[in-house]
Amino acid sequence: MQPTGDLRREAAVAAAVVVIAVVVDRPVLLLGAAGVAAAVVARQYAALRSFAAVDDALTVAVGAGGSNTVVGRATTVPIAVSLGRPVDCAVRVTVDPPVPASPEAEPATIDLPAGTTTAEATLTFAVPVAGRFALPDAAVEIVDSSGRIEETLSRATDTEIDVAARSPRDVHVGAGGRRVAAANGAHASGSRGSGLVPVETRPYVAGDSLANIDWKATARFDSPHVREFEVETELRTVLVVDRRTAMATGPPGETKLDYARDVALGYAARAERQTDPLGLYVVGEGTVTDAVSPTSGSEGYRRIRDALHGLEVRTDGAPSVRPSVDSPVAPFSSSVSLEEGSSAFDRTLRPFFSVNAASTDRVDGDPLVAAVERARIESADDLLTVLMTDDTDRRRVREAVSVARRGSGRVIVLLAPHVLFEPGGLGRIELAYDRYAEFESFRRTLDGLAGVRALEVAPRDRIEAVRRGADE
Amino acid sequence: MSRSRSSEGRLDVVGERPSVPVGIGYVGVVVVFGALWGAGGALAGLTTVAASVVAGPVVAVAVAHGTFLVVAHSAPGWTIAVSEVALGGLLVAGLRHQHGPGPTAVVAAVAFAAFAVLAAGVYDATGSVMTAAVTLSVVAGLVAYAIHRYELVRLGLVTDDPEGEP
Repeated sequence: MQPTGDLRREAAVAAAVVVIAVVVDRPVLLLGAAGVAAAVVARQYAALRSFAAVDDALTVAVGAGGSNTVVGRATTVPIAVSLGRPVDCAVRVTVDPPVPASPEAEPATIDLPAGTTTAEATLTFAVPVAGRFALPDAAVEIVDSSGRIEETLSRATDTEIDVAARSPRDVHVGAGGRRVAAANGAHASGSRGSGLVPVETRPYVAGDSLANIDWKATARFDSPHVREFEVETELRTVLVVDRRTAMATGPPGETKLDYARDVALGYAARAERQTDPLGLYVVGEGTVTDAVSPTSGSEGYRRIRDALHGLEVRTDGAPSVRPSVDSPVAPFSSSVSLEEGSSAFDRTLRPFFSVNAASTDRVDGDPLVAAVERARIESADDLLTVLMTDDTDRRRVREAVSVARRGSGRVIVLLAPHVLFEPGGLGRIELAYDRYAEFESFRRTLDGLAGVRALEVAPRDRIEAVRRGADE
Repeated sequence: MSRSRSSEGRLDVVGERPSVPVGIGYVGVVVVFGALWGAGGALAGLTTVAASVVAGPVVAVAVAHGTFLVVAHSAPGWTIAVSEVALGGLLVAGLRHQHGPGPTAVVAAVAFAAFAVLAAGVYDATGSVMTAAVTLSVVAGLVAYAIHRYELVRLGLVTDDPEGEP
């Protein structure tokens, strides 16, 4: 029960009257002081009843709308305040944003004028760090009907905000808005020989190895039979990931590159699980910035994983991840040091490094095409090239695909539709749909090529928004 | 009754006093004072009303008793008692409460009666205004503090731990 300035003034008047009564020795003035004191006590009593009524009837409900969010995103939490019955005092409920919220976040202030029972407001804030944060208790300020006594209560909000790090949400990999499986699972080789997976049991013919005779089948059919197995092969895969400026389109943490990285990590995990050789070529501005030839060693998988995790869009041509042995920067650095050395070791190795250094110089043509060409050169013919880029330069994508499918090469093209990532891209849904339709036409063109599987990679909610827009 | 925010952002209650009861209270004070003490009493009543308009009825009660020093210098005790009734009416007229003015008015009347009887009793017993004034101040302060503490307990703003936060 905190007195306001008005009540303090009244108390001062009572004290002054008492003093005057003593000074002038007139007891009648004590009646005035008694009257003021009685008025103050009556106001306290009235305020006590009002505050107790508020305490009993007030509820602060925090909506769950913003309980899950991501770092840096403006989050809106609806707050509803209600009183079970009208009261004659003014109530203000203030809810502060969580402690780690950005300083510019304003608390939500909800005023309940005397006589009203419900009010609503929203609390908007952005949290710059990931984690789980409790919403502070609501502060309830009450001022009695005379405006002379106030009190502050608190109400638990019982709300926690989960703030996740920015990362792609619900990655959609599909065709024409429909989800499809992008990765290969166990793959049939089509040829037969030694292996673990039995294919068929057939009658023995001259020339079959005696070691392949299935004695149980022979006894059952009363004639010699052999069992055949499928030969196990490796699926050599190279990931060609475009990290040029256009791939930076999208909200922080949800750019085209982030989605491409997510899918690429899926391929890397699948390859590691099946011990298939996997390579990685990263395409930068005018150069292939990182290259790892197909490898099935655990160190190679780890290097590729690290490279993918460290991928970011940079336009200065510098390596996007730390240089590795297979990085184009590493041999260049080594050749420079060899140029400066004069030992027999330097002289012997210098020619080899100069050749490698030349091959990692900036490419003359399109770096995406150059990366695919390089992958083809450094790998076997039966190569699966997984090309991850966007649709901003369709001519170059076509060119890269045609290079990748030379010989018996197979290609999976994972395209990030620009319209689904650019800010405001879905502002006018009809326009967005037209642009998406153009993208889809391009994707189908690629998908129609022999040995090519073209798929889209995008946030699922945005794909669905475009499809809903089309339906409407 | 409405609510507004002060320039400092503080929550204020700007009350529209119940106009008819307050008007009756004003008229009652002027009429009663005038009837008791003539023109001087009426002037004291107008001064009291002016103080109520400017600073509120509580301050007006104090101002009224100040005017008594002049206009009721040697008036009999019953005239003072009647004037107190008029001032009490002025106080009650300005009171607002969701439960109606009744309970609060009763509390105000009982408190005033208790404080007045206490001050008068001590003065009668000791003949000292100083003693009566000190007694009145101490008792009124204790009552106000007791209500304050009860409110803290009622609203759950105190804990058993003396060092703990409410």
